[in-house]
Amino acid sequence: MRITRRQFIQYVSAAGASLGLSELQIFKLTEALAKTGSTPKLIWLQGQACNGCTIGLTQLFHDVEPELANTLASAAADTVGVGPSGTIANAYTSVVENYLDGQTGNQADIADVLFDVVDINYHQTLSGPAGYLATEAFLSTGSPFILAIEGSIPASGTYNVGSSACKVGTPSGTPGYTNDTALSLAKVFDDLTSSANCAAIVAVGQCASFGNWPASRNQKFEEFEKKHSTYYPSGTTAHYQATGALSVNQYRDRLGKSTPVIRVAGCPIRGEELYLTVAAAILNAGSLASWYGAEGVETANFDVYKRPKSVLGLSLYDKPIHSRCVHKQDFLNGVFASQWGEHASGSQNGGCLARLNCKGPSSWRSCQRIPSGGNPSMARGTWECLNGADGMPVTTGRAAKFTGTSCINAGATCMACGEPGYPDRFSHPLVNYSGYDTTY
Amino acid sequence: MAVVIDPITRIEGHLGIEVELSSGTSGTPTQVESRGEMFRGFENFLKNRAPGDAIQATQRICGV
Repeated sequence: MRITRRQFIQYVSAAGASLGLSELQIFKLTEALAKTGSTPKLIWLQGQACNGCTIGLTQLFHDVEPELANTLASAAADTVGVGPSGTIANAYTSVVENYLDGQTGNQADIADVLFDVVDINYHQTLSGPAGYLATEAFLSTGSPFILAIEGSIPASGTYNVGSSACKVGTPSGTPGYTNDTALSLAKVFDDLTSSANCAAIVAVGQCASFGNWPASRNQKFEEFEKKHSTYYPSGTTAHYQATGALSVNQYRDRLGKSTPVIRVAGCPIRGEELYLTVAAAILNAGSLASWYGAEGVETANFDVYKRPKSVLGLSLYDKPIHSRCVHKQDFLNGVFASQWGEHASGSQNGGCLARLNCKGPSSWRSCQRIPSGGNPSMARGTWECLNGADGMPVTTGRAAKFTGTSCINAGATCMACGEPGYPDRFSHPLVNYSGYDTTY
Repeated sequence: MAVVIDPITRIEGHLGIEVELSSGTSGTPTQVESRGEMFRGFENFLKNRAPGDAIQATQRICGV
């Protein structure tokens, strides 16, 4: 997907302006993303994931009509092999053209940037080839690459199922091969990170960053069981995580490796959070080690968990939601909502949700401040549906600048989904929270 | 002779298909398997949790 430099700059200017970047920042971003040929390829593997983070990324692809038609046509020709490929290719093209008719013109978009500049070498949801052709793509380590992991990694030796809980492909050389054994993600991760060409790992999303739901276990109930062992004889009610899911850092440490891991945490993440992190990595490609800093230590660029604090002045993981929430003034004024959907009297936008156990003080993300479409992973029920705190777009006053799409803007409470320990640390999601004894 | 296509790409999730053919690459299929290659265990880790957790957990089954 080739784009002209003019189209590219147009996109970056438009995207940068919508993100609130200054001209200097836009120039730097353009500079970074225009360095073709000097960026490593990206191999994206999915572990125990739901694809929400991939959806966050792909939803940035706005207008790809002409390229999509070509891609589908050649994919159709490839899959049916020798045969009436012309007819089928035409059918695909006409479906695409009819469906996408009326879309805005051929503007450069993030898809072009990602495929042309960052060079996504393999992504299971986006990959044209399947089967052994796909496995060849992600098993090749001949040139420098960044490994992106979405989802947690189940490793052998843990609990019942171990590494067989996630397999990523069956490799072989020729069609009609005999049955090979599928490769587990644990094995592929081990092999890829053993290569000297693995420059860094990006843990995409909460499952890869901190384990998230696949790694959850009901520890409070386990303690309760131990305490009341008369009523819960051992062996009858133990319900632990099923697969021994590990975060990227946990598995990397278990393997005894020290490849840098950058966490883009959140459940799910937004495409902007990911591509800004990737852009920052490209900007700092010449001095990756000093940009990353020492492991497990907070630096100017990263917090102690290696989540990027901010990129080009755009805040990512440097402040808690509560410190700059749309309801902060109501909190300071002591105006709280006590029921879901309530518009508290005397409130500016419905009232602070602290009494509904909002986890804003513990959540170090920038949810309310990333404009554009957010992640329309609508299964969550809160992304992109609503912009204003009461469900209506807010255009005046303090709330008008909170153009991001977030749980709080939709009337739900923050669940701190990008924090280490989520979800167990914040369970019960609706009660049991004492984060308001902080000072932010 | 088995033909294995794993991973199936351009889908959400991990899927592999294996077809055992009676002879060579043009024989009749004698055994066909589809393999779901990833498991998380929602039914397991939801047990004995606070009911409010289920609201968030089941949302995360699929992100499409």
